[in-house]
Amino acid sequence: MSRTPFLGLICIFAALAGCGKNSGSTGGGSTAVPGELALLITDAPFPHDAIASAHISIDRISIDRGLEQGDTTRIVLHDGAPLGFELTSLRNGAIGEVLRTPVPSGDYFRLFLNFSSVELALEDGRVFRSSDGSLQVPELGPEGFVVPLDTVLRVPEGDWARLLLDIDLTRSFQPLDGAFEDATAFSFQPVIYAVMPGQSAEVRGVVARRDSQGGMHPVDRATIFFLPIGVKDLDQAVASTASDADGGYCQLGLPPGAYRVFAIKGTRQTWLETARISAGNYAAVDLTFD
Amino acid sequence: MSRLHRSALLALVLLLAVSLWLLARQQTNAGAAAEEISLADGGSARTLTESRAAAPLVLPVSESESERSSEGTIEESARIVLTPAQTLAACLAELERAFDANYTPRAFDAQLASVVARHGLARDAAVQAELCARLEAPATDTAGVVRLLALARGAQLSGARGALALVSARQRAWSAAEGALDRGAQRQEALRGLAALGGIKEVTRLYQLLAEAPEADEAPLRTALASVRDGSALAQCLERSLQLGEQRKALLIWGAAEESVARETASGDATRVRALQARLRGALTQTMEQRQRVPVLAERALAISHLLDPQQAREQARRWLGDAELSPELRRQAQDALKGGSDVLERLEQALVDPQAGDEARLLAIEGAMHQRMPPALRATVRASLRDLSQQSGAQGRRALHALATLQDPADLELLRSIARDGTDPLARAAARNALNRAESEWKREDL
Repeated sequence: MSRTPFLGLICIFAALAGCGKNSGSTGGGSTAVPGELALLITDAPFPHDAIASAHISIDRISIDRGLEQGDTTRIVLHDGAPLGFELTSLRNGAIGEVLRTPVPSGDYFRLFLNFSSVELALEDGRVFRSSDGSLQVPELGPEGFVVPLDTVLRVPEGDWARLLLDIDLTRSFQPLDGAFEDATAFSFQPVIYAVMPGQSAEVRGVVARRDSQGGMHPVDRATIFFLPIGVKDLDQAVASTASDADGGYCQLGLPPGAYRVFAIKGTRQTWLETARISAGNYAAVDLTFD
Repeated sequence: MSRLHRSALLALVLLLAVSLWLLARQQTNAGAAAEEISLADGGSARTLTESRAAAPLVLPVSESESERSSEGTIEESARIVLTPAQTLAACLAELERAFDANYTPRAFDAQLASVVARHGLARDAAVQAELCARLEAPATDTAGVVRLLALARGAQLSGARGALALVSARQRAWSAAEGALDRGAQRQEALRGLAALGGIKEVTRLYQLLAEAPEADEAPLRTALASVRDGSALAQCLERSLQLGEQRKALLIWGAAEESVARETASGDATRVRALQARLRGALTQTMEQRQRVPVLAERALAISHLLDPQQAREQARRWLGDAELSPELRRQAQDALKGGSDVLERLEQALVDPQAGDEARLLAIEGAMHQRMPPALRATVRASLRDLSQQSGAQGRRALHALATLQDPADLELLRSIARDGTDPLARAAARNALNRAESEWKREDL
C-alpha cells in the first residue's frame, strides 16, 4: 500500500453565541447585535504506530465576508499568544475548546489562520520543527492561511452558529525528500475544509474481532477508512481514523453521502457500506474481523 | 603616455566603476522583487516587508485582498504590486501543487477556491484579460491548459472574449489529453484534464476508459469521473452504465456520479441543481423503478434523487416501503430518504405498534425519525423501545445505545454511563462511551 502514514483529519470547531449587546455596524448589510465565538478542537486521527505527536500553534485567527460580498473588513478573533494544539491527543469525537470571543452577527465566508509553529515527532525518535527549518511552513502573509467556507457561516442575532475545520493531514504534511520512512525534512502545506455541524455527516461504531468460539473482542489501533461507494483503493479515502483502546471510533465532518467503511489491522481487513448519511445525521457502523 | 591620456583613461575607469555599481544595485533590487514573488506564490503576501503592531478588533483591508491598508496600525516599508501576469503565474503554481499525487476533487475544489479568493481573480479585470490571453495562446501542455481552464472556472470568466478563449483552449486541451493518455507518466494529468474539461465528449471518453479498465487501473478513472460537473455528461454515463454486464463497475460509476451531484447540491447554486435534476431524471427514475433487477444501483439512484429533489425521493421511498419483499438494504435507504418528511412520525408510530415489524424495522424507523421533534407520548414509547433494544448484545443493541444518546434524556444518559462503566459486554461499553462522548459534546448537543 502506497499510502503515507498521515491519515485522517483534525477538526476545529467554532461556536458563536449571541450575547445580546449592541455594537456598531460592521458593514456588508449585517445586523448590529454581536455574538460570541468559541473555537474548539477535536479528532486528530492518526495511525498510531508511526506518530508520537503532531503539534500546531496558531497565533492569529480572523474572519471576513469575502471578496464576493464586497466586504473584506477583517474581524480579528485572536492575535497574540500562540494557541497550541496537540493533535494526537484529540481523537474520535473528543473536543477541546480553543477560545471564545465576541463577534458581530452576520454572514462570514472566509477564515484566516496563521500557524506560528508546527512540530511533528515520530515514534522512531525523529522530530521535525518549523523553528529549526526541518519542517517547512510556507510564508503566507500577515493574515495566514485563508480557509474559504463551503457554505456561509451565519451568526444570527443572539443565536448560535458553528464551524468545523478539517485539516487534512494526509495532504498537509508532506515529506520533502523521498519516502516518509527516510525523510529528513517535511513541509506543512495546510489543506483545510470548512463545514458546518448541521451540514456534515458522522460515522461511529466499534471495531471487533471474532474468536474461534464466536466471542467478540474489541480491536484497538485499527485504521478505518471512509471510501466512496464502490471504491477499494485506500488512497481514494475521503477520511480516515483509528479505533481507541476499547475498539470505538468516530469520524466527524464527513460530506453527506454513502460510504464504504473499511477497517484494517495488520493483515486483517473488513468493510461495510452505509446508506446515504444526510446532513446533520450519523450512521452507527460496527466492523468485525472474522 | 601623456598626462591627457592618463586623465582620459582614469575618467573611463571611473565611469566603468560607476556603471558596474549601478548595475549591481539594479540586480539586487530585482532579486528582492523575485523573492517577494516567490513569497506570494505560497500565500497572500504582496508586500515586500511588513511589520505588524497590535491589531484592532476590526481591521480594514483593501479590496485587492492582500494589500493591507496603510491606515490604522499597519506600517509598510515597501510595496511591490504583482502584475496580472505575475498573479496568474502565482495562481498556476499553487494549482500545480493541488494537482499532486493526492489529488481528489474535494481537495482540488478547496484549493481552487482558495487560490481564486486569495488572488481576487473573480473581480480583477486585468488578471481575467491576462487569463484570456493565455487561453488563446498556442500550447500543447495538457496540464498547463487544464490549470488555466480550472482558473477560468474559478474566476467565472465570462464575456465574448472569455467564451471564445475557452472554446479554443478546450479543443487544444482535448487534443493534448488524448495524445497523453498512452504516455504512462502523463496519463494521470490527461485523465484529470478530461474530467476538468467535463463536456460530453470528454466524459464519454472517461466512461469508456473506466468501463474497459482492469480493476487495478480503476481508481484514477473513478476519481476523474467524480469531478465531472456537466449534467448531460453524467446522465449519459448513468444510462450507459445500466447496460454494463458488470454490476461492480456500474456501481463505481454511480458512486462517482453521486459524489459529483453531492458537491453540486452543496454549492447551493439552485439553477445548476435544477439543470442537473432535469438531466438526470430519466436515468434515476428508470433505475429506481427497476429496483428488483439492480438493487444496488436503485439504492444509489434513490440517494442521488434525494440530493436533487427530496420530495420526489420520499414519494419513491414510500412506494418502496409498501413492498413487503423489499430487501433490508433498500429498506434502510428508503427510511433514510424519508428523513425530514412530514409522515416520518406517522410511520414510526405504525412501526412501534405493528406486531409484524421486527426489531430491525423498528430500529430503522426510530433512526429515521431521530432528528424530528416528537410528541411527548411518542418520545416516551421510543425511549422505552430503545432501552429494550439496548439490552441486546449485537449490533442492534449498540445502535440503540447511539439512538438513546441522541435523544439526550438525562435518565437514558445515566443508563449509558452505567453501561460504559460497568457493562459486561466490552463492545457495548465501547459503544456507550462513544455515544456519550458525542452526546455530551458541545458540537453535537446544539444540532439535535
